[in-house]
Amino acid sequence: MNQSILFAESTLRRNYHNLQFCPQNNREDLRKSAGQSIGRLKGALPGFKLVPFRGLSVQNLPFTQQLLLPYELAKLGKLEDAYLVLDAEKALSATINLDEHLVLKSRGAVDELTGLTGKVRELENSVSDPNFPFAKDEQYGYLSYRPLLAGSGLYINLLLHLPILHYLKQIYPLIQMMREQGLLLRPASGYNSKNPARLFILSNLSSLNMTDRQVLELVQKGALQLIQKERALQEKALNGSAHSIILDKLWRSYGILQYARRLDANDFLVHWSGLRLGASSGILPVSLKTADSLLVYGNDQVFREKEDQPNTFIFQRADAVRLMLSGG
Amino acid sequence: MICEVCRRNNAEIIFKTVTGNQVATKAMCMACANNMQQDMIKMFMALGFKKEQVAEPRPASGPGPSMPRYVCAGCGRPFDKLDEQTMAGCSACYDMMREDLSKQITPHELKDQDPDKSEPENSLRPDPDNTLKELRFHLMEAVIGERYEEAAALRDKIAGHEQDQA
Repeated sequence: MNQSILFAESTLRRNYHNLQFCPQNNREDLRKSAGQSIGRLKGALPGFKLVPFRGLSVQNLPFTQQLLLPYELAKLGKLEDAYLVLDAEKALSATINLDEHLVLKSRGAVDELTGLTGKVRELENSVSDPNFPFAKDEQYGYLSYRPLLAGSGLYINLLLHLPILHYLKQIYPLIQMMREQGLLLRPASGYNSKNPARLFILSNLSSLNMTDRQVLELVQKGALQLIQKERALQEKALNGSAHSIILDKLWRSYGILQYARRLDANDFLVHWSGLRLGASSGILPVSLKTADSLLVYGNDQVFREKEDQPNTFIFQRADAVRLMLSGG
Repeated sequence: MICEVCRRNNAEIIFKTVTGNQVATKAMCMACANNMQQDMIKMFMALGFKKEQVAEPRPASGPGPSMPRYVCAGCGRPFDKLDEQTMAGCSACYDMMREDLSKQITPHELKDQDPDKSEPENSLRPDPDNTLKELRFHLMEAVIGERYEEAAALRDKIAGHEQDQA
């Protein structure tokens, strides 16, 4: 598994032909869309679990779900008639009425990307119903609420950790370079935030007139370029003097996560990024698997399920992280 | 729903205007709706209505209303321009913006496909006519997956094929 890519997600975006598009406009059509989708997904996903988002704001979604949503959804506030559907293993999922009527997703490791795309296509076949056709145009393919996203509707998302490129302010020229190749590289937590975790999402800009194979090749090619640049900078930054600033930051992050008694989400993500870099480069005595499993504490949602006192989340987070890292 | 005038605030009012056979709806926040009200008051006064028949005008502070370029016949959504922020309301909106969409999307993305040679859009099948291309794709997958032994074997195969072709 590639050390810079946390996971890959293959998605298909669909709207229903007979209903007004999302996001969050016509309430009656949203209910119809939900009814149509949930019914089909129940039969298609083994161990089906339905998570309604009624009354929840986008910030209350699980962290990695939140990262992969379009930014403008954060402005909508509370969601209605929107759902997340998961299978038992959480590898296949679908969002209903979050941006498109239906977004089918398959998530896994990046070296399974071809298989993931195959699975999401199978899921699409299972939920397709000739009585409720998807919105499609002869010229533009499957239609989106964003006209420039019309096409086959296949979008590949790769979640990349690029700490040294971010630290050395090399990301923004790369965003432009990727755009010229037909790729979108964006900070996972929004263009105007500081992106404490140094996570980035790479995806194809368009799916118009592209086969699935072409989309996969395009995204993988872009990812390779980014990974090679990050790797080259990491070698220079981490193999130099033992007194380097970056090395010091990694060890500080390790110490803070192991022993802190209070950790807010932003603080946690900053140090998590250092921990992950240290784990992936073999400098810190932590496995990459452990570092990645900590990302679930990136927002308060995981504590909200067990406890309703927001002022305790910073303590719960610190306790959970110490336990995982066997700190004192 | 976002205000269609300022595109920042949440929309709280929906205005519907009828001009002949054309119906246009516009969702606005309170601030933009107030600005539109002030413009309408000024218009009524210019038409000769007495001051006491209209509300006290307040200074306008924001963009004034305007009729959109297109209105979708299906959902009534108005459009002024097509950019990355534009949202389509239904399938019929695409008919309204087809001309602008064709200009936005570069010509090579819309070239006519030969139905005999075109590959289905969801094709993941390997290309048997282009073994070299296939090998390069698998090499890229192997490098990304950090399966370096496999990558080395593929690299050697590619080198062999390239020599044969040369």
